[in-house]
Amino acid sequence: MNRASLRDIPTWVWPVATGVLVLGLFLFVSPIAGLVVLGVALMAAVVVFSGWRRVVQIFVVILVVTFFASMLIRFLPGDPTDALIGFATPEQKAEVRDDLGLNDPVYVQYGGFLKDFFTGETRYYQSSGRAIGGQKVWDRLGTALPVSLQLMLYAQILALAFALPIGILAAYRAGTRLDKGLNTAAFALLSLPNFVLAYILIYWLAVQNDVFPTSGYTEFGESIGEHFKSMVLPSVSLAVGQIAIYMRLLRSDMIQTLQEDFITMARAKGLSTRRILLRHALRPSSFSLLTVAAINLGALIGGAVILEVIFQLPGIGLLLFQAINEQQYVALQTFVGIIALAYVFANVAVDVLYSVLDPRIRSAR
Amino acid sequence: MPDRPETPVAERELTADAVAEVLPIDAGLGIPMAGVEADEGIAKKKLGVGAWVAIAWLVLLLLACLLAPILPIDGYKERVDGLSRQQPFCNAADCVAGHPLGGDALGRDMISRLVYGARNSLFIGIGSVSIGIIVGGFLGLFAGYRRGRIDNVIVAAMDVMLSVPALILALSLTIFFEARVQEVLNRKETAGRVTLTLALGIIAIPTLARITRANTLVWSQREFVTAARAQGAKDFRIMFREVLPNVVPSMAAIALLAVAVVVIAEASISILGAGIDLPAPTWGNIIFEGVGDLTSGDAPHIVFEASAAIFLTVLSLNYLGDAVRAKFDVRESGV
Amino acid sequence: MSPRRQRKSLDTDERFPSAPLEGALLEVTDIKTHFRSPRGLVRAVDGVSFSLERGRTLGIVGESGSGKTVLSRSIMGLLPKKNVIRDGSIRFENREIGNLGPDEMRNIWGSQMAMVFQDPMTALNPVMRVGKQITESLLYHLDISKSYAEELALALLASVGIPEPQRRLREYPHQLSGGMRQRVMIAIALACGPKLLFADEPTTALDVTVQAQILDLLQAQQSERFMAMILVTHDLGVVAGRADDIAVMYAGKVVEKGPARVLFTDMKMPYTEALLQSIPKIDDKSHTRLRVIGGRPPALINPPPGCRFAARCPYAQPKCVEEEPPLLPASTPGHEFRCWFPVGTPEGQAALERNAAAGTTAAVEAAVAGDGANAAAAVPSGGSD
Repeated sequence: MNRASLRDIPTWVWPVATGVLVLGLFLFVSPIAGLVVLGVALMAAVVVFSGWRRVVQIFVVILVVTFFASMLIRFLPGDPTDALIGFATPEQKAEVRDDLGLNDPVYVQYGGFLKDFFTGETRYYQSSGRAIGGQKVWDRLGTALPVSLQLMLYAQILALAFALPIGILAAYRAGTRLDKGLNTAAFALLSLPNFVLAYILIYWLAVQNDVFPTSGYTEFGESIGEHFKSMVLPSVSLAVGQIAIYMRLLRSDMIQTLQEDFITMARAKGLSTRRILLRHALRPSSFSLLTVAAINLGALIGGAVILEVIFQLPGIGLLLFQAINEQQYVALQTFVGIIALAYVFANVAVDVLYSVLDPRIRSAR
Repeated sequence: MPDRPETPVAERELTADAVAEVLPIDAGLGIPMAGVEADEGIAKKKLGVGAWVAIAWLVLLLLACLLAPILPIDGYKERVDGLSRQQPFCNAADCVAGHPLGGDALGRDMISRLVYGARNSLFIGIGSVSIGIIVGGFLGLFAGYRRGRIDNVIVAAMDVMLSVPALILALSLTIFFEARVQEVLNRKETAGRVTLTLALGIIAIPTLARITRANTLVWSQREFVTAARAQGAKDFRIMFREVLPNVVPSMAAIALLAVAVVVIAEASISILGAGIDLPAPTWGNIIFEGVGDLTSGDAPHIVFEASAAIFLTVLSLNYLGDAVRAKFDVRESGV
Repeated sequence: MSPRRQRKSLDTDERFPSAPLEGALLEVTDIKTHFRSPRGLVRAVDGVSFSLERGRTLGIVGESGSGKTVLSRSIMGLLPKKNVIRDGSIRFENREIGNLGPDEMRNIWGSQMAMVFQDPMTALNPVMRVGKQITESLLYHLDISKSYAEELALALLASVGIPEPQRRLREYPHQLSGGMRQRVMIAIALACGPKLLFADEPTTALDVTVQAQILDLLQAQQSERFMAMILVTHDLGVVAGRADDIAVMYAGKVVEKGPARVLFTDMKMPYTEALLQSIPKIDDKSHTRLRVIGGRPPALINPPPGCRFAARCPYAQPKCVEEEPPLLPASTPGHEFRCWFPVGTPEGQAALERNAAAGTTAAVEAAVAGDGANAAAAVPSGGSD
């Protein structure tokens, strides 16, 4: 294929194709595979839009972040093995300490951590008095990750699906009573903590009227209907606050955009209001919204802990919570590392998104 | 090139522009001439009705907190016979009178639980934001004013702290501090509050530092700072006498919003069971205890009353914070 | 398919759409545009009338705040709905359009009337490719296929003098130079073959060297398409030689109007005279002081009685401060002006002499009288040197 025809492919094809591929891998092969492909695609996008320097930058950040994650265990007062495997013999503790690299210089420990991290060897520790063993962290993660990601995905889709039209409407009718009403409603909703909403929904829809289960999770594979039923309340609880935030961001950006000259020009061309709003005004107005949405995605990778606990969804949040309670510091390190990585990637995604949305930034690099 | 020689008006060609030159038409003398625009004043933004309602609620809350011991309500530990799980505004014969908000599972009066809960929740909220603003504010001020290597170091440190999800950090810090604080303070009840305050305060530091830094950057570039420096003023003096007073108003708005965030954070931590020890109440604690009665449907009011308290307080703080921010708007300084 | 089919579709091969060729294309009668503001009613356009025939160019000249931009947007109907009061009649092709809503105006925008905006950097959508911005208009108004629209866009870009049009189609506005962006905007405006083109300060944002090119381009396109054009500018030099008729605006009113040549040689309104005087002339000696019109722009809220220009007019007499002059015809047909003591007439000359002798004008007197405390500071000694 020569250069010219590659460029002729409309731009929207690439992200959609990648998305489909990742989703397919995620659902039908393994979540890890899906995530790896996503990571690779993201890096490719970075190269296309921002060049190799940026990729190097990103890797440096990843190194720093994982380094700090690996050092967490050294920051704990006293002997971490006391917490991890309190009832083991001193020899066993010494062995574990050695394993964890606590006796080695810092960089050796870091190297060891990285190796374990990427080969999936970090583990939970249990002692039965005789032997040290424990489940591998990645095994548990493998089942937990999809749950958290589903929650995050559903909530974000819901949030954007409502926030976009409402935000555009409010911006178009800025200053009217409708707009004021929407603004007030948005303000009230974003002051509502998501767990409060969760309890209200649980009481109303699960306890009083048996529409949804009060808690629990059914896998997608088991029963699609039950799966979605178990996810509705948590997703809605998470989404509502986001709707308010996104809507306000979009509205304020769009109000400014609608005052720009090129909107008047578009009107002077005789284009319909709908076309102007959607094709001309929306794209330049979506920056704040997308920044926050992407950051949210990154943050939510850590699992919406409180909602997972309330609804007993076996996601990363719940895992984290349990790890903290059980003082499983090694596992905790892994979790922190993953979450931090996700955050980095979310930031990268935001940068790429900026380049896609605003061609002026593209050439500036 | 010599100027045109002065000629008396009558001798010059009587063209309009020649005439115009000598007539005092130029209105730069400050006299409002006929048909010329007058200056406009800048309308001051006043606080609206909503803001005053918010203030009213918060004042009410603070009063209730401070006066709690002398208010005619029960102690938060007292159990009243027959009050257990009593619905609010109960009128039936077997209801205990004088408890309009009902009772919790152990028969304690909800009003007193909520008021003492407010004391703890607000202590934690205000305490941790204070820590955050003082420490974070300092760091931000320093970083924003000095720039250079100090700035880079501080920003990097803050970024690292920010890359750990807040709740995780909060829980970890709580567990970390718990033992130590109790050693120092010896009183179990205060220990809980102090621990949580410290933990949340530390978490608040990076965000508040970032915001202060952004504000400081904006103000540091203004000319009065350059002027002060040109006069030989020392850095510290400039920071505190020139820059800080300008940064403070916008930080006030941020502080209000931050308290709202911390109240929610404390509630979240308590709902997860890692809050201060029972029976000491916080709003989050009350929810934690009441969840069972919500899912069973027996006494949902316990959770809802505490939730309402949180919601109203957060709403008021948010509203007030927004109103204050609108009043002292520093053009979105890249926060 | 879409309601577009029902709209009168322009056969794109036709350069001269079928419309009555006699009678004015555009007839504007006493239009007023007032804005409601917290400080009062802003009378941005306060009773303007003119008519324009096909193929003719009308130049509207005025300072900032004279209402010329509001005028062009009022005629096109592009003003916001809130707090705007409009009055008067606008007839386009003998059809009243002043009271049409945006839905109906949309049929006219782009295909019948088009506008070229002042600043191409802000008027072009920064995140949309140039070609798309052109074809969008074409596809919306005309019943053509996408590929044909692209061909047309290419031809349009070429016709406005953009080199390498094929490449430019896919580029973004920020990748083009200022002059090219303005050409693109002209191409967009001309895309559907409008009968009337508004050029709102088309060259203000451009380098002087490019200005002439753009104006030449506009003129060429206009004669080729037999379009009517309204050229709005603050720069008399822009309309000199390019407009058939000129209307000078001040404080929301037309103060002088007529064929271009007459206006330049036989102007009657002192404001027009002052404008002409303020143009630097090439044969002035170096270091000649530039002549300015003293004073400040007029108030559009609560305008004073009497002529709006009186405060800055060297001819001002007591009558000017009390009574507003009406628009009266001059000797040449089509020439109208609004002045009690016009330039070049015996009354005007006498007024000038009177003011020179007194060292003040009636307007200054009136202002000083109204503000007695500052009387002493009001009149400087001698000239303003």
